[in-house]
Amino acid sequence: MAPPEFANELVALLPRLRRFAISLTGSAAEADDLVQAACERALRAHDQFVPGTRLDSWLFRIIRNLWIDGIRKRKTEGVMATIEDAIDLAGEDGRSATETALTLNEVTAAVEHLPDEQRTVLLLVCAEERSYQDAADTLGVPIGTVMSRLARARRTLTAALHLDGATAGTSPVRQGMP
Amino acid sequence: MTETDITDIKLMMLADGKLNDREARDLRSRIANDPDLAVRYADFVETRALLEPQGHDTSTAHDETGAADSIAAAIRATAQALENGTPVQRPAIPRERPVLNVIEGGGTGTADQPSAQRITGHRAGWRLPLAAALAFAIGGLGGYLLHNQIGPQGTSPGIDLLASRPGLNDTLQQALTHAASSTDVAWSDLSSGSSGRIHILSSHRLGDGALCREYEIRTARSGDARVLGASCRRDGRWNAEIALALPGTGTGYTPASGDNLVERHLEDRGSAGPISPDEEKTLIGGGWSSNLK
Repeated sequence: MAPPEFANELVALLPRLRRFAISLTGSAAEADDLVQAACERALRAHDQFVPGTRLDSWLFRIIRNLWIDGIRKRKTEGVMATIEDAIDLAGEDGRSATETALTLNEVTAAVEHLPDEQRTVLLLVCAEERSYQDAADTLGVPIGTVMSRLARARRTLTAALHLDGATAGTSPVRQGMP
Repeated sequence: MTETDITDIKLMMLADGKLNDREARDLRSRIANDPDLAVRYADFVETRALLEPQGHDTSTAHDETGAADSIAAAIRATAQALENGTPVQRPAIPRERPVLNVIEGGGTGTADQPSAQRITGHRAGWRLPLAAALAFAIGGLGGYLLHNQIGPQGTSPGIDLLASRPGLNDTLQQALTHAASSTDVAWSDLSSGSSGRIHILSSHRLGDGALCREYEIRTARSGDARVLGASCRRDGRWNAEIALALPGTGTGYTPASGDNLVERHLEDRGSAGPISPDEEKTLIGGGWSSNLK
């Protein structure tokens, strides 16, 4: 895919990417800087994007890693981390984006492997965007049960998709299906 | 919930927007200072994002500044440059000398100054790098302050002031904790025989919940040269977040661009402007422990 075409795909994802980044940072300004940096990074590495994988998942990874790297940096160096630095690290010096994109099937398969009770809650809240209380009413269980099942489901999913622990520069590029 | 472990449930509730404002601020400020917590939190944000309906893109919230359009434009420009093999136009970030000029007050000519247009540039553009280029986050007053870059001959009164004044540092901690905005606190430092005053300007709450205060430090001997700074509360201490040394103008209290830069830096980190005197009073009364429930 040529860069301009790839850029169109990114622009189409912008609302979701910005929502994702705002969820992470709690700040629209910080989120926008993250999204812009992540998109630039993705563009530079666009030839590493594996067709058939989810572009959104790839960008979520990049945004997440930039954000966490920033927090680490601030913590360890006592220096304000800049998005610009993150781009410099990842971009022009030839280092590549190493974040992994997920295939649609990977996510679906991981969800299907969850215990029934966890899967139901997960789909109600995350896919159908129902409230915790609404999910509790639907399932006829206390809201506390919904929350603990939901948290467990997401932890399991995180592990199954290898979302945790993989940060920029350390995770291998995974091609297609595992 | 003070020093106990942050549970997954809490992190999940934040990711799902189910915490009230106060709890959300509290948790966000912890996350911003704890990479491990940030990883755990990101897991919950990411699992939700991966499962949300795709093509669900009606959200235009938080876009009163047209940020989405300017990001889109930047993406397309970058793509075009990559396609054409031309250099990617990124805003020129003043890196070395311009930074020092600003820190020192810009005494070496106008060419290296960030232009007014850059300073007042579009809110939605490259604000963070700009702020970063102009700002120095330092580990605390009295720490390392650009010695290498400035060199021995370039030390300004302001930089010197910040460099090593244990007495000042202690007084600043006290003043930031106890003094209301718009008040002055005298400081003196026996080790260097210097003294002056600290003027507290305002208090801010950042997007991540961090509590910060803006202030000005003057010395008795430096005329109207001054240091403008902002420090944020973390782990029971005030850590200097940004410090700009401005030279004296000889004309008294003329506000320099540095005033705006400190404000701007706080805005870039999510401050909606100074908090109210009442809220500040409450924070002072509570020892700035609003992060705890």
